Amino acid sequence: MNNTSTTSIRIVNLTREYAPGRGVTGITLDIEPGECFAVLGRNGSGKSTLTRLLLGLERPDSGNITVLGNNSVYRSKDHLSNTGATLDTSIHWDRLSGWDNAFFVARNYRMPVKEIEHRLYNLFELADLTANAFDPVHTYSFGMRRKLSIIEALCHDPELLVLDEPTTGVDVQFQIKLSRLIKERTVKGFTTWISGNDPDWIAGVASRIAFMEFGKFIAAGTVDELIGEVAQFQEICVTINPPLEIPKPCNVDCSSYMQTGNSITILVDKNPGLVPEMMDWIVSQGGKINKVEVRQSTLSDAFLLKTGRALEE
Amino acid sequence: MKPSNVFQLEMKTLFSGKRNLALKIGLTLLLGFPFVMVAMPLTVKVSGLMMLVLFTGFFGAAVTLVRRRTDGHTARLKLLPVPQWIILVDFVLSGALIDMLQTGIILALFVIVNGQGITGSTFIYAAGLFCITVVMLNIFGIVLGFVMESNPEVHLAAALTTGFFALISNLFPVPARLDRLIETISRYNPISILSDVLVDLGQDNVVVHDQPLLIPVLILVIFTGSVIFRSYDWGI
Repeated sequence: MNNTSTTSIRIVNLTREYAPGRGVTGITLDIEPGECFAVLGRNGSGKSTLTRLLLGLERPDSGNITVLGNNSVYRSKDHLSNTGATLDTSIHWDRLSGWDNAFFVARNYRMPVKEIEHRLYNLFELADLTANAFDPVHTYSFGMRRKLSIIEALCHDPELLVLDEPTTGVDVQFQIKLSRLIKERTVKGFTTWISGNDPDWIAGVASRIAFMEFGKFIAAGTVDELIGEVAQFQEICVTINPPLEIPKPCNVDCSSYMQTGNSITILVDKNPGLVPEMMDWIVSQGGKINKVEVRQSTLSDAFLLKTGRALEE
Repeated sequence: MKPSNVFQLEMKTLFSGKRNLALKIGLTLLLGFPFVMVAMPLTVKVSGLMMLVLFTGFFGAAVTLVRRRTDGHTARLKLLPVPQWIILVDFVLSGALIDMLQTGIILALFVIVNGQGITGSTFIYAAGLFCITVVMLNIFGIVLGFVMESNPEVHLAAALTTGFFALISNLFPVPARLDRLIETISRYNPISILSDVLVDLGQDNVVVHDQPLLIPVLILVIFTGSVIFRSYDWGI
Protein backbone atom coordinates (compact mmCIF):
# COMPACT_ATOMS: atom_id res chain seq x y z
CA MET A 1 0.00 0.00 0.00
CA ASN A 2 1.16 3.50 -0.72
CA ASN A 3 1.57 6.25 1.79
CA THR A 4 -1.64 8.18 2.59
CA SER A 5 -0.15 11.47 1.41
CA THR A 6 0.24 10.14 -2.13
CA THR A 7 -3.19 8.52 -2.36
CA SER A 8 -6.35 10.47 -3.09
CA ILE A 9 -8.60 8.01 -1.33
CA ARG A 10 -7.61 5.30 1.11
CA ILE A 11 -10.27 2.99 2.45
CA VAL A 12 -9.22 0.49 5.10
CA ASN A 13 -11.47 -2.37 6.17
CA LEU A 14 -14.56 -0.21 6.03
CA THR A 15 -17.83 -1.53 7.37
CA ARG A 16 -21.21 0.17 7.65
CA GLU A 17 -24.16 -2.16 8.02
CA TYR A 18 -27.79 -1.10 8.35
CA ALA A 19 -28.90 -4.69 8.60
CA PRO A 20 -27.19 -7.99 7.76
CA GLY A 21 -26.32 -7.83 4.06
CA ARG A 22 -27.29 -4.14 3.76
CA GLY A 23 -24.55 -1.52 3.57
CA VAL A 24 -20.84 -2.14 3.00
CA THR A 25 -18.57 -4.74 4.58
CA GLY A 26 -14.79 -4.93 4.80
CA ILE A 27 -13.90 -2.64 1.90
CA THR A 28 -10.19 -1.89 1.44
CA LEU A 29 -8.99 0.27 -1.41
CA ASP A 30 -6.38 2.81 -2.51
CA ILE A 31 -7.06 5.34 -5.27
CA GLU A 32 -4.17 7.34 -6.68
CA PRO A 33 -4.37 10.94 -7.92
CA GLY A 34 -5.38 11.08 -11.57
CA GLU A 35 -7.37 7.88 -11.39
CA CYS A 36 -10.97 7.57 -12.44
CA PHE A 37 -12.31 4.83 -10.23
CA ALA A 38 -15.77 3.41 -10.76
CA VAL A 39 -17.92 1.19 -8.61
CA LEU A 40 -20.44 -0.87 -10.52
CA GLY A 41 -23.23 -2.64 -8.75
CA ARG A 42 -26.86 -3.52 -8.84
CA ASN A 43 -29.44 -1.43 -7.01
CA GLY A 44 -28.99 -1.87 -3.28
CA SER A 45 -25.50 -3.34 -3.59
CA GLY A 46 -24.01 -0.65 -1.33
CA LYS A 47 -22.57 1.80 -3.90
CA SER A 48 -24.42 4.85 -2.62
CA THR A 49 -23.65 3.97 1.00
CA LEU A 50 -19.97 3.77 0.11
CA THR A 51 -20.19 7.12 -1.70
CA ARG A 52 -21.92 8.72 1.29
CA LEU A 53 -19.24 7.33 3.59
CA LEU A 54 -16.61 8.79 1.29
CA LEU A 55 -18.28 12.19 1.55
CA GLY A 56 -18.56 11.97 5.32
CA LEU A 57 -22.36 11.96 5.22
CA GLU A 58 -22.36 8.72 7.18
CA ARG A 59 -20.09 7.32 9.86
CA PRO A 60 -18.54 3.90 9.44
CA ASP A 61 -19.16 1.19 12.02
CA SER A 62 -15.50 0.26 11.73
CA GLY A 63 -12.48 0.96 9.55
CA ASN A 64 -11.68 4.34 8.11
CA ILE A 65 -11.65 6.43 4.96
CA THR A 66 -8.98 8.99 4.22
CA VAL A 67 -9.88 11.44 1.48
CA LEU A 68 -7.18 13.80 0.21
CA GLY A 69 -5.26 13.14 3.43
CA ASN A 70 -8.25 13.85 5.70
CA ASN A 71 -10.38 11.43 7.67
CA SER A 72 -13.77 11.65 5.95
CA VAL A 73 -15.68 11.36 9.24
CA TYR A 74 -14.61 14.84 10.30
CA ARG A 75 -15.62 16.41 6.96
CA SER A 76 -12.72 18.83 7.25
CA LYS A 77 -12.72 22.07 5.31
CA ASP A 78 -9.78 20.83 3.24
CA HIS A 79 -11.67 17.66 2.31
CA LEU A 80 -14.91 19.45 1.39
CA SER A 81 -13.24 22.40 -0.37
CA ASN A 82 -11.44 20.09 -2.76
CA THR A 83 -14.33 17.74 -3.40
CA GLY A 84 -17.25 18.20 -5.77
CA ALA A 85 -20.07 15.72 -5.46
CA THR A 86 -23.45 14.69 -6.75
CA LEU A 87 -25.58 12.39 -4.66
CA ASP A 88 -27.85 9.69 -6.08
CA THR A 89 -30.77 12.14 -6.04
CA SER A 90 -30.69 15.66 -7.45
CA ILE A 91 -31.27 18.10 -4.63
CA HIS A 92 -32.02 21.74 -5.42
CA TRP A 93 -33.98 24.72 -4.17
CA ASP A 94 -36.79 24.26 -6.67
CA ARG A 95 -38.24 27.77 -6.65
CA LEU A 96 -34.87 29.28 -7.53
CA SER A 97 -33.34 29.19 -10.98
CA GLY A 98 -30.72 26.66 -12.00
CA TRP A 99 -28.19 29.50 -12.20
CA ASP A 100 -29.01 30.67 -8.65
CA ASN A 101 -28.61 27.13 -7.33
CA ALA A 102 -25.26 26.67 -9.04
CA PHE A 103 -24.11 30.17 -8.04
CA PHE A 104 -24.93 29.44 -4.40
CA VAL A 105 -22.88 26.23 -4.46
CA ALA A 106 -19.94 27.85 -6.27
CA ARG A 107 -19.93 30.90 -3.99
CA ASN A 108 -19.66 28.64 -0.96
CA TYR A 109 -16.39 27.33 -2.38
CA ARG A 110 -15.18 30.92 -2.02
CA MET A 111 -14.80 31.43 -5.76
CA PRO A 112 -14.70 35.05 -6.96
CA VAL A 113 -17.97 36.15 -8.59
CA LYS A 114 -16.38 36.83 -12.02
CA GLU A 115 -14.76 33.41 -12.06
CA ILE A 116 -18.03 31.76 -11.02
CA GLU A 117 -19.92 33.44 -13.84
CA HIS A 118 -17.32 32.45 -16.42
CA ARG A 119 -17.13 28.86 -15.21
CA LEU A 120 -20.89 28.45 -14.88
CA TYR A 121 -21.46 29.89 -18.34
CA ASN A 122 -19.16 27.23 -19.81
CA LEU A 123 -20.70 24.42 -17.78
CA PHE A 124 -24.30 25.40 -18.61
CA GLU A 125 -23.21 25.52 -22.25
CA LEU A 126 -21.65 22.08 -21.96
CA ALA A 127 -24.82 20.69 -20.40
CA ASP A 128 -26.99 22.41 -23.02
CA LEU A 129 -28.84 24.22 -20.23
CA THR A 130 -28.03 27.83 -21.17
CA ALA A 131 -31.53 28.51 -22.44
CA ASN A 132 -33.03 27.27 -19.15
CA ALA A 133 -30.40 28.68 -16.81
CA PHE A 134 -32.71 31.33 -15.37
CA ASP A 135 -35.85 29.20 -15.21
CA PRO A 136 -36.96 27.90 -11.82
CA VAL A 137 -35.68 24.40 -11.17
CA HIS A 138 -39.22 23.09 -10.63
CA THR A 139 -39.73 23.53 -14.38
CA TYR A 140 -36.71 21.29 -15.14
CA SER A 141 -37.02 17.69 -16.29
CA PHE A 142 -35.37 14.85 -14.36
CA GLY A 143 -32.37 14.82 -16.72
CA MET A 144 -31.95 18.60 -16.53
CA ARG A 145 -31.88 18.41 -12.74
CA ARG A 146 -29.26 15.68 -12.95
CA LYS A 147 -27.16 17.85 -15.25
CA LEU A 148 -27.49 20.76 -12.86
CA SER A 149 -26.23 18.56 -10.02
CA ILE A 150 -23.20 17.65 -12.11
CA ILE A 151 -22.60 21.34 -12.95
CA GLU A 152 -22.66 22.11 -9.23
CA ALA A 153 -20.15 19.34 -8.56
CA LEU A 154 -17.82 20.63 -11.28
CA CYS A 155 -18.19 24.37 -10.67
CA HIS A 156 -14.99 24.76 -8.62
CA ASP A 157 -12.92 22.31 -10.67
CA PRO A 158 -12.39 20.05 -7.66
CA GLU A 159 -9.38 17.85 -7.03
CA LEU A 160 -11.79 15.00 -6.30
CA LEU A 161 -15.03 14.59 -8.20
CA VAL A 162 -17.58 12.17 -6.74
CA LEU A 163 -20.46 11.23 -9.01
CA ASP A 164 -23.23 8.92 -7.84
CA GLU A 165 -25.22 7.58 -10.80
CA PRO A 166 -24.25 10.48 -13.09
CA THR A 167 -25.76 9.13 -16.29
CA THR A 168 -29.22 8.34 -14.92
CA GLY A 169 -31.73 10.22 -17.04
CA VAL A 170 -29.26 12.37 -18.98
CA ASP A 171 -29.01 12.42 -22.77
CA VAL A 172 -26.29 10.64 -24.73
CA GLN A 173 -24.77 13.94 -25.90
CA PHE A 174 -24.14 14.99 -22.33
CA GLN A 175 -22.83 11.54 -21.41
CA ILE A 176 -20.22 11.86 -24.17
CA LYS A 177 -19.26 15.40 -23.11
CA LEU A 178 -19.04 14.32 -19.48
CA SER A 179 -16.79 11.38 -20.28
CA ARG A 180 -14.51 13.74 -22.27
CA LEU A 181 -14.40 16.14 -19.36
CA ILE A 182 -13.56 13.35 -16.91
CA LYS A 183 -10.74 12.17 -19.18
CA GLU A 184 -9.36 15.72 -19.30
CA ARG A 185 -9.46 15.84 -15.50
CA THR A 186 -7.61 12.53 -15.34
CA VAL A 187 -4.86 13.92 -17.58
CA LYS A 188 -4.57 16.92 -15.22
CA GLY A 189 -4.04 14.53 -12.30
CA PHE A 190 -7.47 15.02 -10.74
CA THR A 191 -9.28 12.07 -9.25
CA THR A 192 -12.81 10.97 -10.09
CA TRP A 193 -15.01 8.52 -8.21
CA ILE A 194 -18.06 7.21 -10.03
CA SER A 195 -20.67 4.86 -8.72
CA GLY A 196 -23.28 3.64 -11.10
CA ASN A 197 -24.89 0.80 -12.97
CA ASP A 198 -24.16 1.77 -16.57
CA PRO A 199 -21.29 -0.55 -17.58
CA ASP A 200 -21.03 0.73 -21.15
CA TRP A 201 -20.50 4.36 -20.16
CA ILE A 202 -18.27 3.48 -17.23
CA ALA A 203 -16.09 1.26 -19.44
CA GLY A 204 -15.36 4.34 -21.53
CA VAL A 205 -14.23 6.61 -18.70
CA ALA A 206 -12.92 4.59 -15.78
CA SER A 207 -9.29 3.66 -15.41
CA ARG A 208 -10.15 1.12 -12.73
CA ILE A 209 -13.43 -0.52 -11.85
CA ALA A 210 -14.74 -2.52 -8.91
CA PHE A 211 -17.83 -4.70 -9.01
CA MET A 212 -19.88 -4.50 -5.87
CA GLU A 213 -22.36 -7.04 -4.59
CA PHE A 214 -23.93 -7.37 -1.13
CA GLY A 215 -21.72 -4.55 0.17
CA LYS A 216 -18.46 -6.17 -0.91
CA PHE A 217 -16.05 -5.75 -3.80
CA ILE A 218 -16.22 -9.03 -5.69
CA ALA A 219 -13.79 -8.05 -8.46
CA ALA A 220 -11.61 -5.09 -9.31
CA GLY A 221 -9.25 -4.13 -12.08
CA THR A 222 -8.96 -2.20 -15.33
CA VAL A 223 -11.62 -2.61 -18.00
CA ASP A 224 -9.29 -4.88 -20.00
CA GLU A 225 -8.47 -7.01 -16.99
CA LEU A 226 -12.12 -7.48 -16.08
CA ILE A 227 -13.20 -8.23 -19.63
CA GLY A 228 -10.14 -10.48 -20.04
CA GLU A 229 -11.44 -12.67 -17.25
CA VAL A 230 -14.59 -13.39 -19.24
CA ALA A 231 -12.99 -13.33 -22.69
CA GLN A 232 -13.44 -17.07 -22.91
CA PHE A 233 -17.15 -16.43 -23.28
CA GLN A 234 -19.20 -15.24 -26.21
CA GLU A 235 -22.76 -14.04 -26.35
CA ILE A 236 -25.05 -15.48 -29.00
CA CYS A 237 -28.21 -13.51 -29.73
CA VAL A 238 -30.77 -15.42 -31.77
CA THR A 239 -34.06 -14.09 -33.11
CA ILE A 240 -36.61 -16.79 -33.86
CA ASN A 241 -39.94 -16.78 -35.58
CA PRO A 242 -42.60 -17.59 -34.39
CA PRO A 243 -41.83 -16.82 -30.72
CA LEU A 244 -41.83 -20.39 -29.42
CA GLU A 245 -40.50 -21.15 -25.97
CA ILE A 246 -37.19 -22.96 -26.46
CA PRO A 247 -35.86 -24.75 -23.36
CA LYS A 248 -32.22 -24.39 -22.27
CA PRO A 249 -30.14 -27.00 -24.10
CA CYS A 250 -29.10 -29.90 -21.91
CA ASN A 251 -26.17 -31.03 -24.05
CA VAL A 252 -24.40 -27.64 -24.19
CA ASP A 253 -22.90 -26.01 -21.11
CA CYS A 254 -24.33 -22.45 -21.12
CA SER A 255 -23.10 -19.90 -18.62
CA SER A 256 -26.42 -18.20 -19.00
CA TYR A 257 -29.56 -18.62 -21.08
CA MET A 258 -32.42 -16.15 -21.36
CA GLN A 259 -35.43 -15.93 -23.65
CA THR A 260 -37.59 -12.83 -23.98
CA GLY A 261 -40.34 -13.26 -26.58
CA ASN A 262 -38.68 -14.22 -29.84
CA SER A 263 -35.20 -13.23 -28.72
CA ILE A 264 -32.81 -15.70 -27.08
CA THR A 265 -29.53 -14.62 -25.47
CA ILE A 266 -27.01 -17.31 -24.62
CA LEU A 267 -23.61 -16.96 -23.00
CA VAL A 268 -21.32 -19.86 -23.85
CA ASP A 269 -17.61 -20.72 -23.97
CA LYS A 270 -15.70 -19.15 -26.85
CA ASN A 271 -15.72 -22.25 -29.00
CA PRO A 272 -16.61 -21.89 -32.71
CA GLY A 273 -18.28 -25.32 -32.70
CA LEU A 274 -20.82 -24.25 -30.10
CA VAL A 275 -22.64 -21.77 -32.36
CA PRO A 276 -23.86 -24.38 -34.89
CA GLU A 277 -24.62 -26.72 -32.01
CA MET A 278 -26.89 -24.09 -30.45
CA MET A 279 -28.57 -23.43 -33.81
CA ASP A 280 -29.21 -27.16 -34.26
CA TRP A 281 -30.80 -27.28 -30.82
CA ILE A 282 -33.12 -24.37 -31.55
CA VAL A 283 -34.16 -25.86 -34.89
CA SER A 284 -34.69 -29.26 -33.26
CA GLN A 285 -37.08 -27.60 -30.80
CA GLY A 286 -39.15 -26.23 -33.69
CA GLY A 287 -37.69 -22.71 -33.78
CA LYS A 288 -37.16 -20.97 -37.11
CA ILE A 289 -34.03 -18.82 -36.96
CA ASN A 290 -34.40 -15.28 -38.30
CA LYS A 291 -31.16 -13.70 -37.20
CA VAL A 292 -28.00 -14.76 -35.35
CA GLU A 293 -25.52 -12.35 -33.79
CA VAL A 294 -22.32 -13.37 -32.00
CA ARG A 295 -21.02 -10.69 -29.69
CA GLN A 296 -17.65 -10.44 -27.94
CA SER A 297 -17.50 -9.98 -24.19
CA THR A 298 -18.06 -6.55 -22.73
CA LEU A 299 -17.88 -5.07 -19.26
CA SER A 300 -21.58 -5.84 -18.89
CA ASP A 301 -20.84 -9.52 -19.45
CA ALA A 302 -18.00 -9.40 -16.96
CA PHE A 303 -20.29 -7.69 -14.49
CA LEU A 304 -23.12 -10.13 -14.98
CA LEU A 305 -20.85 -13.10 -14.60
CA LYS A 306 -18.93 -11.75 -11.64
CA THR A 307 -22.01 -10.76 -9.72
CA GLY A 308 -23.19 -14.31 -10.14
CA ARG A 309 -26.50 -13.00 -11.38
CA ALA A 310 -26.35 -14.37 -14.88
CA LEU A 311 -28.78 -13.48 -17.59
CA GLU A 312 -31.42 -16.02 -16.70
CA GLU A 313 -32.05 -14.15 -13.48
CA MET B 1 -29.40 39.23 -5.70
CA LYS B 2 -27.72 35.88 -6.23
CA PRO B 3 -27.69 33.80 -3.06
CA SER B 4 -24.25 33.33 -1.58
CA ASN B 5 -25.19 31.85 1.80
CA VAL B 6 -28.03 29.84 3.34
CA PHE B 7 -29.72 32.93 4.78
CA GLN B 8 -29.90 34.58 1.35
CA LEU B 9 -30.97 31.29 -0.19
CA GLU B 10 -33.88 30.92 2.24
CA MET B 11 -34.97 34.54 1.81
CA LYS B 12 -34.77 34.37 -1.96
CA THR B 13 -36.73 31.12 -1.93
CA LEU B 14 -39.46 32.79 0.14
CA PHE B 15 -39.72 35.88 -2.03
CA SER B 16 -39.47 33.99 -5.34
CA GLY B 17 -42.80 32.26 -4.69
CA LYS B 18 -45.38 35.04 -4.45
CA ARG B 19 -48.22 32.59 -3.91
CA ASN B 20 -46.37 30.90 -1.07
CA LEU B 21 -45.52 34.25 0.51
CA ALA B 22 -49.11 35.46 0.22
CA LEU B 23 -50.35 32.19 1.75
CA LYS B 24 -47.86 32.35 4.60
CA ILE B 25 -48.76 35.90 5.58
CA GLY B 26 -52.43 35.67 4.59
CA LEU B 27 -53.11 32.55 6.64
CA THR B 28 -51.45 34.00 9.73
CA LEU B 29 -53.47 37.19 9.32
CA LEU B 30 -56.64 35.19 8.90
CA LEU B 31 -55.91 33.13 12.02
CA GLY B 32 -54.90 36.12 14.08
CA PHE B 33 -57.56 38.56 12.92
CA PRO B 34 -60.32 37.44 15.35
CA PHE B 35 -57.96 38.03 18.28
CA VAL B 36 -57.42 41.60 17.10
CA MET B 37 -60.92 42.60 16.11
CA VAL B 38 -63.45 40.48 18.01
CA ALA B 39 -64.56 41.74 21.40
CA MET B 40 -63.21 39.38 24.05
CA PRO B 41 -61.17 39.73 27.24
CA LEU B 42 -57.73 41.18 26.61
CA THR B 43 -55.95 38.19 28.19
CA VAL B 44 -57.75 35.83 25.84
CA LYS B 45 -56.83 37.96 22.82
CA VAL B 46 -53.16 38.01 23.85
CA SER B 47 -53.08 34.29 24.64
CA GLY B 48 -54.52 33.54 21.21
CA LEU B 49 -51.95 35.73 19.51
CA MET B 50 -49.11 34.22 21.54
CA MET B 51 -50.24 30.73 20.52
CA LEU B 52 -49.98 31.92 16.94
CA VAL B 53 -46.42 33.13 17.61
CA LEU B 54 -45.57 29.81 19.30
CA PHE B 55 -46.94 27.72 16.47
CA THR B 56 -45.34 29.80 13.74
CA GLY B 57 -41.96 30.00 15.46
CA PHE B 58 -41.44 26.71 17.23
CA PHE B 59 -43.67 24.34 15.29
CA GLY B 60 -42.67 25.94 11.98
CA ALA B 61 -38.92 25.69 12.64
CA ALA B 62 -39.09 22.05 13.79
CA VAL B 63 -41.23 20.89 10.87
CA THR B 64 -39.17 22.87 8.34
CA LEU B 65 -35.90 21.33 9.51
CA VAL B 66 -37.26 17.79 9.24
CA ARG B 67 -38.65 18.59 5.78
CA ARG B 68 -35.26 19.94 4.73
CA ARG B 69 -33.66 16.74 5.94
CA THR B 70 -36.13 14.42 4.22
CA ASP B 71 -35.85 16.49 1.02
CA GLY B 72 -32.07 15.99 1.16
CA HIS B 73 -31.30 19.70 1.50
CA THR B 74 -29.32 19.29 4.72
CA ALA B 75 -27.22 16.51 3.14
CA ARG B 76 -26.56 18.79 0.16
CA LEU B 77 -25.49 21.61 2.48
CA LYS B 78 -23.21 19.25 4.41
CA LEU B 79 -21.19 18.76 1.22
CA LEU B 80 -20.23 22.43 1.20
CA PRO B 81 -17.11 23.60 3.03
CA VAL B 82 -19.19 25.72 5.39
CA PRO B 83 -19.15 25.06 9.15
CA GLN B 84 -22.42 23.55 10.28
CA TRP B 85 -22.94 26.18 12.96
CA ILE B 86 -23.02 28.91 10.29
CA ILE B 87 -25.70 26.98 8.41
CA LEU B 88 -27.70 26.64 11.64
CA VAL B 89 -27.33 30.35 12.46
CA ASP B 90 -28.56 31.13 8.94
CA PHE B 91 -31.54 28.81 9.44
CA VAL B 92 -32.39 30.53 12.75
CA LEU B 93 -31.95 34.02 11.27
CA SER B 94 -34.00 33.36 8.16
CA GLY B 95 -36.65 31.40 10.08
CA ALA B 96 -36.97 34.15 12.70
CA LEU B 97 -37.14 36.88 10.07
CA ILE B 98 -39.86 35.07 8.14
CA ASP B 99 -41.80 34.41 11.36
CA MET B 100 -41.47 38.07 12.36
CA LEU B 101 -42.87 39.05 9.01
CA GLN B 102 -45.80 36.65 9.46
CA THR B 103 -46.70 37.31 13.08
CA GLY B 104 -45.27 40.82 13.37
CA ILE B 105 -48.00 42.21 11.13
CA ILE B 106 -50.78 40.75 13.25
CA LEU B 107 -49.11 41.86 16.52
CA ALA B 108 -48.66 45.36 15.09
CA LEU B 109 -52.35 45.36 14.17
CA PHE B 110 -53.20 44.28 17.70
CA VAL B 111 -51.14 47.15 19.14
CA ILE B 112 -52.70 49.65 16.73
CA VAL B 113 -56.25 48.51 17.49
CA ASN B 114 -55.97 47.71 21.20
CA GLY B 115 -52.80 49.49 22.40
CA GLN B 116 -53.03 52.54 24.59
CA GLY B 117 -50.40 55.09 25.52
CA ILE B 118 -47.59 53.58 23.43
CA THR B 119 -44.30 55.39 23.80
CA GLY B 120 -40.98 54.88 22.00
CA SER B 121 -39.54 52.91 24.89
CA THR B 122 -42.56 50.61 25.22
CA PHE B 123 -42.44 49.97 21.49
CA ILE B 124 -38.73 49.09 21.59
CA TYR B 125 -39.29 46.97 24.68
CA ALA B 126 -42.10 45.02 23.04
CA ALA B 127 -40.21 44.71 19.73
CA GLY B 128 -37.09 43.44 21.52
CA LEU B 129 -39.12 40.90 23.48
CA PHE B 130 -40.85 39.79 20.31
CA CYS B 131 -37.44 39.35 18.63
CA ILE B 132 -36.04 37.32 21.58
CA THR B 133 -39.18 35.17 21.64
CA VAL B 134 -39.13 34.38 17.93
CA VAL B 135 -35.38 33.67 17.84
CA MET B 136 -35.64 31.45 20.92
CA LEU B 137 -38.60 29.54 19.47
CA ASN B 138 -36.68 29.00 16.24
CA ILE B 139 -33.66 27.67 18.13
CA PHE B 140 -35.84 25.27 20.15
CA GLY B 141 -37.66 24.27 16.98
CA ILE B 142 -34.40 23.44 15.24
CA VAL B 143 -33.23 21.43 18.26
CA LEU B 144 -36.48 19.43 18.15
CA GLY B 145 -36.12 19.03 14.37
CA PHE B 146 -32.67 17.54 14.94
CA VAL B 147 -33.96 14.95 17.36
CA MET B 148 -37.03 13.89 15.37
CA GLU B 149 -36.60 11.68 12.35
CA SER B 150 -39.83 11.73 10.40
CA ASN B 151 -42.62 14.16 9.59
CA PRO B 152 -45.36 12.48 11.69
CA GLU B 153 -42.93 12.26 14.61
CA VAL B 154 -42.04 15.95 14.48
CA HIS B 155 -45.65 17.05 14.05
CA LEU B 156 -46.71 15.17 17.16
CA ALA B 157 -43.70 16.22 19.24
CA ALA B 158 -43.92 19.86 18.13
CA ALA B 159 -47.65 20.05 18.87
CA LEU B 160 -47.14 18.59 22.34
CA THR B 161 -44.14 20.82 23.07
CA THR B 162 -46.03 23.90 21.84
CA GLY B 163 -48.75 23.06 24.34
CA PHE B 164 -46.13 22.65 27.05
CA PHE B 165 -44.59 26.03 26.19
CA ALA B 166 -48.03 27.63 26.34
CA LEU B 167 -48.54 26.09 29.76
CA ILE B 168 -45.22 27.24 31.25
CA SER B 169 -45.70 30.68 29.69
CA ASN B 170 -48.84 31.25 31.71
CA LEU B 171 -50.95 31.68 28.58
CA PHE B 172 -53.71 29.54 30.06
CA PRO B 173 -55.02 28.99 33.58
CA VAL B 174 -53.06 26.24 35.34
CA PRO B 175 -54.01 24.04 38.32
CA ALA B 176 -53.57 25.89 41.58
CA ARG B 177 -50.77 23.62 42.84
CA LEU B 178 -48.67 24.54 39.77
CA ASP B 179 -49.28 28.25 40.18
CA ARG B 180 -46.09 29.07 42.05
CA LEU B 181 -43.89 26.99 39.72
CA ILE B 182 -45.38 28.55 36.58
CA GLU B 183 -45.12 31.98 38.15
CA THR B 184 -41.38 31.47 38.77
CA ILE B 185 -40.72 30.17 35.24
CA SER B 186 -42.77 33.01 33.72
CA ARG B 187 -40.51 35.59 35.31
CA TYR B 188 -37.62 34.48 33.06
CA ASN B 189 -39.65 33.38 30.08
CA PRO B 190 -39.76 35.90 27.20
CA ILE B 191 -43.03 34.42 25.92
CA SER B 192 -44.88 35.22 29.13
CA ILE B 193 -43.10 38.56 29.54
CA LEU B 194 -44.16 39.53 26.01
CA SER B 195 -47.66 38.33 26.69
CA ASP B 196 -47.79 40.46 29.89
CA VAL B 197 -46.44 43.48 27.98
CA LEU B 198 -49.16 43.09 25.33
CA VAL B 199 -51.86 42.87 28.01
CA ASP B 200 -50.37 45.91 29.73
CA LEU B 201 -50.27 47.78 26.42
CA GLY B 202 -53.98 47.18 26.06
CA GLN B 203 -54.52 48.62 29.53
CA ASP B 204 -52.05 51.53 29.25
CA ASN B 205 -50.12 49.94 32.07
CA VAL B 206 -46.61 49.30 30.71
CA VAL B 207 -43.79 50.40 32.94
CA VAL B 208 -40.38 50.16 31.31
CA HIS B 209 -37.37 50.63 33.51
CA ASP B 210 -33.93 51.38 32.08
CA GLN B 211 -32.41 48.00 32.91
CA PRO B 212 -34.98 45.71 31.27
CA LEU B 213 -34.92 47.91 28.18
CA LEU B 214 -31.22 47.32 27.66
CA ILE B 215 -31.49 43.59 26.87
CA PRO B 216 -34.28 43.90 24.25
CA VAL B 217 -32.41 46.77 22.61
CA LEU B 218 -29.22 44.72 22.53
CA ILE B 219 -31.07 41.76 21.06
CA LEU B 220 -32.69 43.98 18.42
CA VAL B 221 -29.30 45.46 17.50
CA ILE B 222 -27.60 42.04 17.33
CA PHE B 223 -30.44 40.52 15.30
CA THR B 224 -30.68 43.45 12.86
CA GLY B 225 -26.89 43.55 12.54
CA SER B 226 -26.75 39.81 11.82
CA VAL B 227 -29.51 40.08 9.22
CA ILE B 228 -27.73 42.97 7.48
CA PHE B 229 -24.40 41.13 7.66
CA ARG B 230 -25.80 37.93 6.15
CA SER B 231 -27.84 39.79 3.51
CA TYR B 232 -24.75 41.15 1.84
CA ASP B 233 -22.17 39.18 -0.13
CA TRP B 234 -18.95 40.47 1.41
CA GLY B 235 -16.83 38.76 -1.21
CA ILE B 236 -14.83 36.92 1.45
